[in-house]
Amino acid sequence: MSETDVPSLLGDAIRDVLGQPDLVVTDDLTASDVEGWDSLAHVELIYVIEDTFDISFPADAIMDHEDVGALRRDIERLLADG
Amino acid sequence: MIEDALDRASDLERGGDAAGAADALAVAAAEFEVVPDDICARLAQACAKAGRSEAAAHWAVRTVDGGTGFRSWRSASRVLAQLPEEHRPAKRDLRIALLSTATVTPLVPCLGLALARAGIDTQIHETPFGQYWQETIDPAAGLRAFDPDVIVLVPDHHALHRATEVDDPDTWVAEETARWTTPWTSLRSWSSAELVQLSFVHPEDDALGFAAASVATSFRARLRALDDALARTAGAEGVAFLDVDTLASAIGKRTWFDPRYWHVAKHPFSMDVAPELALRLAATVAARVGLSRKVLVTDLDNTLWHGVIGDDGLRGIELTGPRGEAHVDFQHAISQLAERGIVLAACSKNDDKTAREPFVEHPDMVIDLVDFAAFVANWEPKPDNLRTIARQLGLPLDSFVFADDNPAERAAIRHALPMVDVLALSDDPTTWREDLGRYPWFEPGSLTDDDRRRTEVYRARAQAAELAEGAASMDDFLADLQMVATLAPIDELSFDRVVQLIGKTNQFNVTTRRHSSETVRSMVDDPAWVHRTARLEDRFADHGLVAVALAREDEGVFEIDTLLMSCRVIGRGLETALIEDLIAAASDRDLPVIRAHYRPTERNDLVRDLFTDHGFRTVGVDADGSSTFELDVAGHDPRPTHITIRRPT
Repeated sequence: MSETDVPSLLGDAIRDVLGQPDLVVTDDLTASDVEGWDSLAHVELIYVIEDTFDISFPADAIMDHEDVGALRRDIERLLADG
Repeated sequence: MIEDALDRASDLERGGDAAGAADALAVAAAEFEVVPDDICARLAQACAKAGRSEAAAHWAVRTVDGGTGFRSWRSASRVLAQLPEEHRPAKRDLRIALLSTATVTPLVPCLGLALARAGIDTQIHETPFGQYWQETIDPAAGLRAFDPDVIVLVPDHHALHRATEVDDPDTWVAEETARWTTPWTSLRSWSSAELVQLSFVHPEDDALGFAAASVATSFRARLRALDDALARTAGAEGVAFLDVDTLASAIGKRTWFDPRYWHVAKHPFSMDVAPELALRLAATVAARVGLSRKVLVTDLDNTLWHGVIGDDGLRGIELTGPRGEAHVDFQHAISQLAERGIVLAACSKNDDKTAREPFVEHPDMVIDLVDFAAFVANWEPKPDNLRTIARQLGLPLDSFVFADDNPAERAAIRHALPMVDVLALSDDPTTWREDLGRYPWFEPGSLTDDDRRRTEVYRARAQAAELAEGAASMDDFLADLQMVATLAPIDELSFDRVVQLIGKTNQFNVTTRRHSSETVRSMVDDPAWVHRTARLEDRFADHGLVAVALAREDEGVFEIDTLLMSCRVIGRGLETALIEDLIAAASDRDLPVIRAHYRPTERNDLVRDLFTDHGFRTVGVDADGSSTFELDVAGHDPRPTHITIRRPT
């Protein structure tokens, strides 16, 4: 997987989990900007991301990303470490 | 080709062209016998977005057969939930409550999707975290307001005290059994919902290591004893019990449980396994409401044995050696299903005499000719033969499952008869036994002796149907059956079977009132009610308990609440015998009028004219087709039947 795929696959995952196919996903988007992005949806999102990228977040990172950009950087870091 | 189509679909999806994406995905889907779950879910989404609701519903439900990926199930479930009413599952509506000592939110969408696969439309309510005990007991709790049809109880071992050892394990097990069965009693005090109890999943680790099972005081040994006790008690009390520990072991407990999600979100199982658990749970629920599959139609050549009997001959077909033994194993699995009540039929392209030869002559065959309720070997197309089998057995095609090694025959059935489930047998017969074992929709509701005798009964019925074609007149045919019906009140022995029939009889059922076992119990205890069961025997078979009637004396009128009959004995005159028996009961009570109702459903058109055919007059018809009928008891001439009536005293 090339690094350029990460934003597009992450955007797909977010739209898919939240059930909002037309949501525009940018780095500065936060959970509080989007209706329905509560902690339950976030846990599902993290699972879908782990499944999509075949990575595993440490437990304390699961609820810890302040915006989509932070989540994206964490994914890229885990992919690079893996 | 598949990859190209999928890539094109991705581009179109991102570009917002849903119709184009759906078309591209359909090109990819056409390459598969069983379309993978992710493609199904994407198709469902694209079709929904393009306004093709019917196709969206179709692909959402197909996701369940395509795999068990959480992401696919999650999005297919959402598509389904947003579809208009007319494209949602239509066989039953169920309100389902999930109660857990942990958080089972990921199960909710998965369960809804899996139940849609069984034709059930759902509303699912998850009780708030930490409210397991309160919700079952507190009359003001949200659960009670939700008024569920089914309540699913999901315990988790984290809710138990996990002391390494206790002094007195027997007391511990007895106390915990009492604690975990208490909700059943509390729930049943106000709800007539079906209860489904899940087992615990036993953790891999134990302080006593893998020796723990042999130490009665260990956590592992006690947890096993607790689950065994719960399973036994559930069986005795009519609570469905789902052995999740076996499922978790089969999948792998290290996949089942992800400690990160336990600590962050209190998920007792990983989202990886939520679809698979939902599937098993849905199968249990579907079975409880009578929507499991009932018939297995199997091919013969290269399915039950290796080789082609018409070409290879009796000595050429293989039932030994690795290849042959795989087929023998498959036969064992089929034969065990038949023993517990799945109706077996054969459908083979062969001459009839040749097809029967291995069953009679070959020493290594497991399945016997008498195990088949119907045996069709000819050169007609298989879809036609399945329709014939359905007619002979008097069972609908949407209760059929089809097994055939030949992908072309499977495709023919999938195309012509989409309501039939087709087993996607691999090219390798050694996996078939497990494939069949994993097929979910044969789940039994609650097993009764009548279930176990079902094949015998349906075979008799198929023979009787053949006889009918040959008999000079219907009267001669019925007389020749030498039928004996036993009419008796509901008693302890018949009670479970009565509740089962009330829960699942769809076709010959005038009101389709699904009384719970508690309601039936209260009717039996109330002298205002008259309750009858009918068993039917003929010279071919004992059909068992096949009909139920419930009627109530109410302000001088004798009113038929429920009259239902298993479709296996339709056309015998048993309904006439039962109606005459109810009229006689009204007469015994000096009630001048007997009143009856017909409430139309999708499947009971058969009995629309039942009462007028029996001399009742129509006294009211509602807009929805519900009708009320009455008959004056005085001066009524009982109608003759060809059934000898027996009344045990």
